[in-house]
Order: sequence, then structure tokens, then C-alpha cells
Amino acid sequence: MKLRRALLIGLPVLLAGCTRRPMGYLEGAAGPASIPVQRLGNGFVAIACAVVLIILAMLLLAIANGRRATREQGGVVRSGTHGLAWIYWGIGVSTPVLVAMTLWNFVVTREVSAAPAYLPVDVEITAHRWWWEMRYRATPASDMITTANELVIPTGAPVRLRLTSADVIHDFWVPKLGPKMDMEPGQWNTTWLEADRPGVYFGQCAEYCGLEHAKMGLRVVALGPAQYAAWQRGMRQPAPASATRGAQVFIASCSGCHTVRGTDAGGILGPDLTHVASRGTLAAGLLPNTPAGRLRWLSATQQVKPGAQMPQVALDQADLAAVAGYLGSLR
Amino acid sequence: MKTPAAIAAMLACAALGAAGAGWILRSGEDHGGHHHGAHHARQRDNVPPSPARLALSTDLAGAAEVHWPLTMRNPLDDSPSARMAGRQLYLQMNCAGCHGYHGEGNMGPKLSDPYWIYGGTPAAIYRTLDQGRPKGMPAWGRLLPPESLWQLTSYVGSMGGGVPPDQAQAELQGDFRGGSTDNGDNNGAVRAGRGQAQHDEDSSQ
Amino acid sequence: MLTDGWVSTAMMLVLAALLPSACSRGSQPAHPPARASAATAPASSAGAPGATQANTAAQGGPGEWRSQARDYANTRYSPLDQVNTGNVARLRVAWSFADGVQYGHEGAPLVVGDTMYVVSPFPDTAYALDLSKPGAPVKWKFSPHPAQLAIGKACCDAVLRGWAYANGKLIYSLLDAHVVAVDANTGKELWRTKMGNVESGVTMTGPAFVVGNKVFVGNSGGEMGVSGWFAALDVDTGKQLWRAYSTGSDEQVRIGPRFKPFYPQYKGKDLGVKTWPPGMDKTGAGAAWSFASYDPDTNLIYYGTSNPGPRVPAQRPGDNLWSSTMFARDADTGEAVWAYQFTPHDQWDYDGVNEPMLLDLPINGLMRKVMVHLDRNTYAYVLDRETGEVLKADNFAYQNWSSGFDYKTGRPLINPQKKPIVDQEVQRICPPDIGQKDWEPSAYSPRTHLVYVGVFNICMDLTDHKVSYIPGTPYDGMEMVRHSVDGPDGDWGAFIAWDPVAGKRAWTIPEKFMVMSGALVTAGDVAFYGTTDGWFRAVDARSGKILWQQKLSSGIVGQPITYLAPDGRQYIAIASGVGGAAGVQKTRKGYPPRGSTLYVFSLDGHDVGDPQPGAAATPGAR
Repeated sequence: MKLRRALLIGLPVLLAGCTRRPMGYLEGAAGPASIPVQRLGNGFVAIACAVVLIILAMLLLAIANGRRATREQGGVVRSGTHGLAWIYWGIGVSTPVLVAMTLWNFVVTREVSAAPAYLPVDVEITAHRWWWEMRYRATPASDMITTANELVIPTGAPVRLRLTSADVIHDFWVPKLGPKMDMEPGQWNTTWLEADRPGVYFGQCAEYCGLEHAKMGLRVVALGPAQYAAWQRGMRQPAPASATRGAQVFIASCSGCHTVRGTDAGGILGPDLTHVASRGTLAAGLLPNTPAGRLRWLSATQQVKPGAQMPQVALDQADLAAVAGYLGSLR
Repeated sequence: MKTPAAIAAMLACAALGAAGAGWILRSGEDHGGHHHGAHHARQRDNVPPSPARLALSTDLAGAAEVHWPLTMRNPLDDSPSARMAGRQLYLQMNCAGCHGYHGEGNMGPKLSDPYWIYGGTPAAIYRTLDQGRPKGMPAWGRLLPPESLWQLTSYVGSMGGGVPPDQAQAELQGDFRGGSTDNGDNNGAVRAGRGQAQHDEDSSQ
Repeated sequence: MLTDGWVSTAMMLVLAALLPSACSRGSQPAHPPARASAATAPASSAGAPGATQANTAAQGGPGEWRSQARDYANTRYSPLDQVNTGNVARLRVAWSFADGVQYGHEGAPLVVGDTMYVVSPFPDTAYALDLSKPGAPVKWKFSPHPAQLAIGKACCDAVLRGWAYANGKLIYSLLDAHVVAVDANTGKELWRTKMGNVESGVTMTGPAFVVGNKVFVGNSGGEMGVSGWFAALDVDTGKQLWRAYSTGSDEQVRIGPRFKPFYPQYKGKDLGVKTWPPGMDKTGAGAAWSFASYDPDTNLIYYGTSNPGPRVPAQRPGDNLWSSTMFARDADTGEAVWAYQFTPHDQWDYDGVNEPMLLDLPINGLMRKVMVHLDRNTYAYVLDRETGEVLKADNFAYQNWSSGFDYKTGRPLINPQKKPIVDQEVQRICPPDIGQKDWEPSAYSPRTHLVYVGVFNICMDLTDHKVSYIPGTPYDGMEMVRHSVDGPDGDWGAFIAWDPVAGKRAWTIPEKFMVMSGALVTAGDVAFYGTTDGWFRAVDARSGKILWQQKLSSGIVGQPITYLAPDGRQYIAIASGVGGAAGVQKTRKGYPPRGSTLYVFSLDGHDVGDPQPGAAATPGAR
């Protein structure tokens, strides 16, 4: 009996430990758009904990005093024990603290929402069901970069994000780098973020947008300035010419929806695949971008992400492998 | 209820909730989501063979009574969702660029009237989409899977001129009534829409 | 003092010198001098300000019509005056010829010696008609059998906008992106050159243009995401001498050390790549599908390029060079000498292909060698044809997409309310994609100094849709409803006389339908044009009064010509057969069915072989 009760209590604790730290986004803020918020959150939690402890202490004290008083004086409510003073003191101490917290909140909100004056990187992000399209603005126009699902930014530079949606309302959220912002069709919302140090930061669509809302993940890759410049140069190149079977099958079967610059594939319905092999994941953070992952996506599209706009392409195993190989060559 | 029992019940609920949360979170990883998939997957394996390679009629010259496959129905049953998906494809695959945003015709023939060069039953429309045609109609069967072609068939047939499958014989032999009249009374703004098959001008393309 | 007397004398001398030029300004010669045959010497006067001039010298005699515009300057002016304002009302059909093809008939027949050459729209069958016999029987017929696939790739009907004659050959483009040369005497094929791959949407509908031993052709497909180009072929062998693309690197666009554009935005390396998102220059169109002109003094050939692809600007930020651009190139090498972009980052499909007419105009007291170009964007440009500077930009019809023209930068100012928005309707953008003037060519009379041209009066409600590039399918995205500027019952067109110096209309003839026919003007002071609903009209070139009209079997989108037949009579020829872009009016009441007949008119309908009723042949004929 005791064992069973122990298990009943212990099991959920164990199981909770097995998950991937779902509350992990509350720590590790990495940019000026998120660090103030994290500090605020931590500060509020600290104050709240302090308040709870103080009140708990006072409650215990009051209980202890009360019990003693009851023992000593028979539990009569007496007047003249300065109870009102406690109330005045309590309000007097809490109010400035609350006001300070409110002001701090306003200051942080403003700090985080107002983008800095100069934003060297400007990205248009269009949300689709269920992937992200990124278009880096540039002058001249030939420096524009179009990619998908992975936002690469330089460290130490604020990035302006212009957000819209191609279908329903989505929400852009990279917790360690910045606040959430809705992405609405027919409208451009603007926000910004910045990464202080290199790394990979995860994001997620934060507005329910349909069947695969949960599988609409996002990666932000922050690179040092030299690496970022190299990435830009690479992204502006077209894909190399290829006459392999994989390339041919790709053009025949996939070009209606996907673009690979440098070939005749110019579809805009799905992600731009010109440099797909340089990304870390496939299908909006769902699968690893490895040969196995690419093959799995091609051969079991609707099993992996049922309801995705990409149909299960009817190709035989050899052709699927060839296309997966071709995609792997698109660095 | 007694206090210990109440406390035990509360703890049990909490345990259940935590276990459930843990299970949901864990199964969100790539195990394939079979449970999600099953009742949402469409009848992919149940799409009937496409009429792509089947002969126009069971008779060489089209004189005898025609049955399958020309009278084949659209397996998607022309449902509103099929038509909507077809409309999306119609825009996304640039059909609108040749045939007009409302099927009124432009570089390609008008699709919103019941006159079909290559037949207007679902099977005939499917074949045209799948195979292409000599004067420049692309062969979409190379790029799109059968389901997308049936969705397009649904939409194209719904533009105002689709021939019901059971009228296949009548259409073949010129007995399908649905011709247009030249009223010539559409001055001003130029827009041809659905359902105007009876009133549109005769396009002598 | 002595000085006073000298000053006043000097002033009087100066005034005396100025007097004669002041008297001569505005005077017009009573009759133009007869042009010598085969003269290519310029007739324009340099230096002293005076009246507008043009080099109307043409290949062949005054009674011939050897090229689409008759001369290199694109004036479409004929020195014949047998038919004039006094007798044009006597025009009757002399004979007619149907080629049996139903697509739009856009090209002008050619007359060389006593043969008329006509080519039908797809399937591009060529006919030689014997003008020395009554009824102009067919001497030979040539069927090139172009690929049917091309029909589904031609945006605006399976048309052919013209053909060329050179060195005993008839040379023209086929819809399936080949160029063919036919022996003008026998009708046998001499050579055929493949210029592009029709499967990916490249067609050729434009008029071949011959200068010396070279024939110039361009491709079509601005709506299909092609890569636009203009090329020169050898007339005798069909071998390609050079090809200049409209987008891409400087090497592909043939921009080199000779390139001296006037405006700073064109000075830079590889602008045909830099002004496009990566890779999109390859599908950037800039097709050269309409008329070119040529200046023999400078050996420069001029032509315009089409809209950029796709037609949805949101997909292609940047100026999108060199779309909607006029190029001046060396005719021998194809090197670009200057370029000017009429509509940078075009958002409404305003092609820059309309014909460049080479005139000498008095601008601010100086005679300037200019090019007059009425663009799709509704500006009537006067450009210096040696430098590409914009001297004048006036509106020849109603437009609301541009709030003005900035002469310092050479750019039009854009009205932000008329910018297209993806997936949202923007109402009443004037003009629509086809402009207030499309390819239909204008004519210029050195006697009236006016430019005669058919124009439109329309607007569009536009919704843009983003599009994928799928080769062989449209790369388009414009959903439009077109309507008249003046409301649901308003007119859709007009035939106007435009004064290029004043930048204003001299007169207007309103028309219910778009006027998509070419214009013709003669020394008899008669201007000819045809309407979409089939009326062929002759008007007084000075006053715009309609002097004669004839209803033809179908709408008119072709180009009228006039010539002298072997009997010394003047004939006027015009093809009827509606189609082409005039088809946007298809659902309007009164829009005619298609047709295929060439009509030839003469005074009282006389044909070769009829006795001459005492009318003398034109001096200097043949």
C-alpha cells in the first residue's frame, strides 16, 4: 500500500523529468530584445517569492502568537492590540513596491518594443502553413536573399523583422531573442531582435494556425560577422548546374512548387531550396537535415506531417533517393 | 469526505495530470504521430486508376454506346473542398494566366462554357490536364499527382460548362444542349463569370 | 562719341540678319520635292531653327512600300497625292484577298515593283500577289509549317506584326521562334534560322526590319518569363551576327566602352543583373517585339524592350533594367550607345516597345535630332536620339499612375495610390496594361508636322497575384477588369493628331472602340486609320474631318499602306481581321467576329486593266 502510494506520487515526477525541459525558454535570453524581459521576469519572481516568504513567516508567526494568546488568554478577541497599524504598514510597504514593479514593466516593454534607430539587417518573413519564408532586403536588388525556415543573423546587429502571413494568422516567437509578434495576412507587422552571441536559437509559431501548428518550428542561427558575410555570399550564388538523374527528376516533379535558382525550377508555393542542404532541419524544424531525414521527408511526407501542403510525390524508391541526393548537394 | 481521502484524491488527480502531460510531450517527438495521421489521411490509396491512358470510347469511331471510362465520375465527388483546392491550383499553376481568372479565356480557350474541344466530362477534362494538348496546353500529369488533377477537374468543371458524366455520349454526338447565344449586350466592364454560359457571346476562337 | 553710331549700326545689322529667319519660321512648302529613288541622304536641315523635319527617304520608288514603315524613320508617310482631300470620297474597293486565317491581321503588306507580299498570321503563310493583273492573282504561296505548340504560348493572339523585303528575299519571323527567308520570285525557302525554344514560351510575332545586308528581329514572350533579346542576322545566309539580351550582364546586353547613357542611374557595371533579385534577370523578359527605326547618319538602330517579368512587381524589387527601355545600338556590332528606361520597376506592364519615330524638331529655338515615342505609360517622349536625354514628356491621353515627370533624374513620379497590392484590388488605374497606346504605329506628315496615331481611353481595376515560374506557362499574375475612363458607356479609344513640338493634341476623333490600327498619312493630306469594329476611315490631315469611310468584313488591327500599281493608279491597302490585344474588348456590344480579308481601294474602285479616264499618273512615279 505504501509502495503503491509512493509510486503514484513519484511517477509523474519521474515522467516530468523525461521531457525536454518545456519551460527551458525562461532562461538563457541572448539579446537586448529579450534580456530585459528575462530580467523582469526573474525580478518579479524573486519579489513574489520574497512576498510569499514574508507573508508565510508572518502567517506562521501570527498562528503561533494566536495559539499562545489562546492558551494564555482563552481565545478572546481583544481590542487595543494595534491591528490596524499592521494594515497601514502592509499597504505602505506593498504600494511603492508594486508601483516600482509597474514602472519597471513599462520601461522594459518600451525598451523591448522600440527598435534601435539603425538596423543593418532587414528581413521580411512570410508565414505559410506550416513553414517560414525569409527574404532579406538589400540594395542593390541582386543582394537579396530568399530562404526558408532558418533565419541566419549576425551577432551584435539588430535585425528588423517585417512579418506577414500568406494565409491565416501565425505568430513569430523566438523566446531567447525577442518577444512574440503576430503575423497577419494582408498586413505587415514589424518587430526586431538581436543576438549577442553566436548560437542556434529555437522558435515556434505561437498562434494556432491549423493541423500542423505544433510542427511549425523555426531556427535562428546567429553567426559572427565574418561567418555571416560568408553565408551571405554563399546564399547569393545560384545552385551549380547538374545533369544528374536526381536533378532531372526534381525539375520534372518538384519545380512547380519549389525554386532552385540556376535551374528552371521557379515555383513559389513551397520553400526555396537553392541552398537547402545548408539548413539544419527540414520541414520547419521537424526532421534533421541529413540524408536519412531528407529521404524520410520525401518518401513519407504525409506520415511525418499529415495535412502539409506538399503532397506525397509518386516516385519510386530509386528516384526518391536520387532527388534526396540532389537536395543534399544544394549547399 | 474525510480529509485524508480528499488529500489522496487530489494527489491522484495531480499525478494523472502530470503523467498525461509527460506522455503528450514525449509523443510529440518524431514517432510518426500515427494517431494524428489515421483519421486525417485522405483516401490516397483508394484513388481509382486515372483515365489517362484509356481510350476515348469502347467504339473506334464513337458511334456505339459509350460506357466506362468516359462516364467515369470524379472520385472526389466534386465536393466543395475539392473545388476550392482546385481553384488554388488553378491560380498557383498559372492556369489563370492562359485561361483567365474566371475561365473567360485568353491565350487558352474559354472554360466557362459547355463547348469543349477535347470533351467536357470529368474523365475527358482529366485527360486533357494529364496529357496536355498540341497547341500549347502543358501536360500537368508530369508534375501533379492524380489527386491534384482531380481537384483541378472539379474546379474546371464547375466553372459553368462541365458536362455531367452520364451525358458523355450526348456530348460526343452533339446532343448535349448547353449552347450559348450571342446577345451582344455586355457593354462596359469586361468580365466573364461562372454560370454565364447561357449568355456569353459566341467566342469564335 | 563715335561708338554710339557704331553700336546702333551694328544693332540694325543684327536685326536685319534675324528678320529673314523670323519670316521663314512657320512657312510650309506648297508641295514636297519629289524624292529621288533609293535615296538615303538625310533631308533634315541642321542648325537653324525651323519646322519639324523627317528623313522620309525610302528604299525603292515613291510608289512602292518596301518596308513596314516605308522608311527608316518610321514615318509611314507616302509622297503620293493622286488621292487627296478633294477626291478621297470616291474610294471604292478595287479587289480583296482573303488568306483564310482567323487570327488578328496586324502586318502591313509590302509592295515591291509590281508584286505585293502579304503573310498571314499563324501558320505564317506567305503570298506574292501579281499587281499587274486584275484582281491581283497569287503568283506563289509559301507554307512554312511552324509548330502548333506556339499558338498556346503567344500571349496576344497568334499574330505576325510585319515582314521585310531585302535583296530579292522576303524575310519574316515565324511564331515558333524561327526566322525564314523566301525567294521573292519563286517562293522557295532559302534559309530558316532557329532563334529560340518555343516550348519555354519564346515566340516571335514582331516585324523583321532590314537595313542593308542585315535583318533585325526580336523575340516575344514578356508574359511568359522569357529572356528578351534583339538580334541581327545576315540577310543572305540567315546566320546570326549578334544578339543583345535585355537583361543580364553587360556582356549579354552588349554594353561596353561605347555605352554613354545620359542619366547617372544607367552608369554602372552589370546593371542588368544588379537591379534584379538574384537569378530573376533570367526570366526578366524585356522582349523586343515591335518596330525598330534606323538613323543612317549615325548608323544607330533604335528599338524598345517589353515589360519586366513577372508582371507582379512585388516579386522583383529593383529598377529591373533593361526592361521598358529604349536602346540605341550600333547596327553593325550591336554595341549599346545609349539607353533610357521609360518606366523603371514597371508595375503595370507598360512595355517600352512602341515605335521610335525619328524627327528633327525645334526645341527651345534649336533644331534637335530627336526621337518621338508615345509610350504605353501615356507619356509622349521626345528624346535626343544621339544621347538619350529626355527633352519633353507630355501626356497624350489621360493617366493617373504618374503625378509628373522629373527632368533632372529622367524618372517619372509615381502616384502611390496606383501601385498594385498583392491579393488586393486597386481600382481605376489608368491606363491599363496595354497603355493608352499599344504597338499600333503612328504616322508623321512633313506637310502638317503632325503625328497621327490611334490611342485608347481606358483604365483597369487590378489585383496582383504572386506567381511561380513554370517554363512554358504564363509568368504573369495580373487579374484585370478594363473599362473606359469615362464610365460604363464611355468611349474606349480615339484617333488623334499630335503636335510633338507643342506637346498637345491638334484634333481628336473619339471612337467607341480602341483604335488599334496603324496610321497612314499621304502627301494628299489624307490620313487613314481603321477601327476595332471594322470602319476604315480617311480624314483630312489638317482638320481631322472624316472625309470617307468604309465598313470592312471584320475589325481592323493592321497597318494601311498606299502604293502605285503598274497602271500608275494609287491604291490603298488594309487588312481586316480583328484580334491581337484588341480582343480585350471581346465582350463589348458591337465587337465583330474574326476575319481574314485584305482590302485594296482605289478611286472609283478601278483596278489594273481598267481604262484610264484621263487621270494623269503622278509625276516621278516608278
